[in-house]
Amino acid sequence: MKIVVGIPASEGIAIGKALVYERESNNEIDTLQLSSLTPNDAIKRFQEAISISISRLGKLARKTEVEIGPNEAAIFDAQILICEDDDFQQSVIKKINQGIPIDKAIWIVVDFYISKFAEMDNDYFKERALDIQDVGNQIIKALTGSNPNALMELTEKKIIVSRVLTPSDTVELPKKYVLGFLTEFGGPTSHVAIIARALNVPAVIGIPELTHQISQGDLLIIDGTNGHVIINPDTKTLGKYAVQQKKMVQNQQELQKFAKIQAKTQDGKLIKIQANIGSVDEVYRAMDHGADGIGLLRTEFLYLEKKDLPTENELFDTFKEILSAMREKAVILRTLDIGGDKDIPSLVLPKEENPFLGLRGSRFISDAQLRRIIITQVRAALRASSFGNLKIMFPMVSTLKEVLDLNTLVNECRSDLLANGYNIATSVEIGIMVEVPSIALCAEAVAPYVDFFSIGTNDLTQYVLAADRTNETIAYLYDHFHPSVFRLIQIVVNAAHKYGKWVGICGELASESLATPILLGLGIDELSMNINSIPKIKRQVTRQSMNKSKEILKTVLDLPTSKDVRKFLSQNSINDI
Amino acid sequence: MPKVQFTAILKNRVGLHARPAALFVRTSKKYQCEIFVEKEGNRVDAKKILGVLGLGANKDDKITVYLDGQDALDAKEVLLEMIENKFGEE
Repeated sequence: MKIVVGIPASEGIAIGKALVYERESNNEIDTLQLSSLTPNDAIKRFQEAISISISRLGKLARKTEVEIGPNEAAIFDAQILICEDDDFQQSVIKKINQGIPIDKAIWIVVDFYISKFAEMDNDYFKERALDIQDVGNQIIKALTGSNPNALMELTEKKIIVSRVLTPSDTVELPKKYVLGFLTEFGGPTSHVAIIARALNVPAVIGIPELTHQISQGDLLIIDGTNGHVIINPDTKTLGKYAVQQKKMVQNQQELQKFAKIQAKTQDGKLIKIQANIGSVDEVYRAMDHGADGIGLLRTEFLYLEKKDLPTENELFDTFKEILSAMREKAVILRTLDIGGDKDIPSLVLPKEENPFLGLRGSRFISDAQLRRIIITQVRAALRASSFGNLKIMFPMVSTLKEVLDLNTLVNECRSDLLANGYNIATSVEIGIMVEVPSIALCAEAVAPYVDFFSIGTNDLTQYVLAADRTNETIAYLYDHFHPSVFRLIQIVVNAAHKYGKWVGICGELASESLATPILLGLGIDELSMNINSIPKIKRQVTRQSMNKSKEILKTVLDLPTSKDVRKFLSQNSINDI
Repeated sequence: MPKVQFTAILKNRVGLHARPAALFVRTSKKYQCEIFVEKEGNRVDAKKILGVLGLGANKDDKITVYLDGQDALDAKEVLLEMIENKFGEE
């Protein structure tokens, strides 16, 4: 038994025999014949091979478009364009005229372009090196008339092991026989990673010396979640993974059913289950996993890796895209939350002694310069509001005065936009995050001035326990199951409900099924979490009743430590583990 | 013969990479006029994909497109719109 580790590229567990795919196995006799051609004949053969390749690639493009999608199919269109590229053809022809055998001429030119692309600093462009290599392979195959792809012969379920897998390798695969993929090369954006996720099979990539360690027919276990590969496992390991695999499959199938249902307790209380997202792509994944809306749209992604701050129009375009995609479902946009430990390149903030207690989040409005950033975001958000169901949420608020100032800021933006003829939705809820104990304790004073509260339990825990969540030496203190956290939540919920306002949780606590009964008992209206946890928490809600949850809460609030809370919950409620 | 040029900033997520690059070249090839695309002084034939990919034009990069020939104005309109529409990116 041997364990090797690579980059986890697609989740899940696969157990099966290896099909080691060696792509550099061109027929030697054919190659020999090619090298005896005169330059003129060789050029003719090359041109024929180009048109055969273009027609084959066209077929692959159409097959991919049907089986996978138009974006993946575009890869082959790019390859067709490479075949058609006059510079590429002329370079090969020039080499042939110099007396270089046709196959070598092709590889010299292909290698020239590969080295050119491999130097570029962008992963996307590096991937293009593989496309060119793929074109080289295609043309050689067309020249030698050899079978285009050994993988097509796959007739039983196997794990595909290869140094690299190019788009044309993967497209010709009989998909139903693929258990998983292992490759020596490739990054998270490589074709094999994308195809594996699309087929929903595990993949581990970037494993050094992979093909030297695995022989044809070896028994393999792929753990695509952790990036582990076990070669010829012993019976004990095999048994362990078989059980885990079965559990995962069952769990996934069962959970997926819960993505589509509403999260309603057994006594009929409906809880909104929403998604925390930080990019446009995640919108679609959130919907697939059954999100009732976006409970936290982090806007920081629009500022990362950018030299300049985004303009109002740029922000508007992205907000509009997300709101339109979600249609009538809520999108809670959180304004920029940086400072503290989070930086963006376009903004140099002075170093602080205690960054977590310093200038961060909505505190920006106290500074004439930084205030502009928040105004730009609010204006862009309000302009996008007519395209969907927008709510705006301000992070890191500590006092009533800040709440009032933020409301004034929103109203000024709104009047100015309306005066300039912009369309704004009639109702845009404005809420705040509860992360600072002061705002939780004074929630009753604040409740009349906000439409909702969303509790950021990660920061709330750090502030109430005075335990820096990035400091490992005091990690034993940091636990969001501490009774103090639940007591603060209780104050907020009671205050909010008194004024008819709703309360959500958008910290990690929302995705803990162990916490679901207490959060229900507290009267939380909405839970927002990472996309993958949504079906799990929907199921957990359907297993609870409000009466039982309230009883659990009563006991929990009087428990002295987080350890006691966890212990009590695991003994007194239904949970997954 | 019309001779035109335009400058644009790539707003789509991946720049002139696989699909957008293919679309750009495929569209350029439909026109009779000569089309060149330039980034930071590096000018290549817009009808040849290896050159276009070789520009390494990423998101937020500025490119200039030079068109020369009978249908240059039509080509300009179509190519500019394509860039502004982020190559139909979802």
